[in-house]
Amino acid sequence: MTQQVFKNTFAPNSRNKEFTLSQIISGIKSGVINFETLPNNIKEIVSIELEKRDL
Amino acid sequence: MEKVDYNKAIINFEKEASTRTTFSYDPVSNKVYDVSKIEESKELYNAYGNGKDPLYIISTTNNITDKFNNDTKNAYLDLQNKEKTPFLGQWTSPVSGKKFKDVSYPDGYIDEIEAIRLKTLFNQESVLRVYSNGEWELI
Repeated sequence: MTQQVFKNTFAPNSRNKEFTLSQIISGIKSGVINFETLPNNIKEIVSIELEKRDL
Repeated sequence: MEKVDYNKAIINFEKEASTRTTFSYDPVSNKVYDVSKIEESKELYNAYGNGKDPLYIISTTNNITDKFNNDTKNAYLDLQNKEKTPFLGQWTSPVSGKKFKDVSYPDGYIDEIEAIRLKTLFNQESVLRVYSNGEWELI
């Protein structure tokens, strides 16, 4: 299955040109990605995934 | 290599946790790093990088509770036994507001292949790679 990727428009200090959903969640956990700076569509996808994981 | 007692590290960590949401705490330097800030990311690199190659930050737990527990204690002691410097970390879910506590460590002397092997070994979704200029990458 191809994983959805998101263009990096929200983490200027990162060399990632794009992120997978797993990477975004991992970035939130390690504190390098701030949820509040994510575009609304990505916020929604991340929220759904975190709820699914009961986190 | 200096080793800080686990219980002492937790006491110092909790002092920081009262005023922060998401952070990594280095018990040896008694310092908190927020790698989203480029200056702190550079400081972290300067403390643990080899001056040339990227530094890797590897998480070793996936705690789903807000407490340090046997898993985090074992992870902390295991890293110390391997002459690594364990960090204690906390992240806050933006959805539930719950806080989670984990263990990670910096390693400036491994390559990408080893970093990816460790990511799999510790069942992590990513490893954080930090460059000497403070930029970072999730791999």
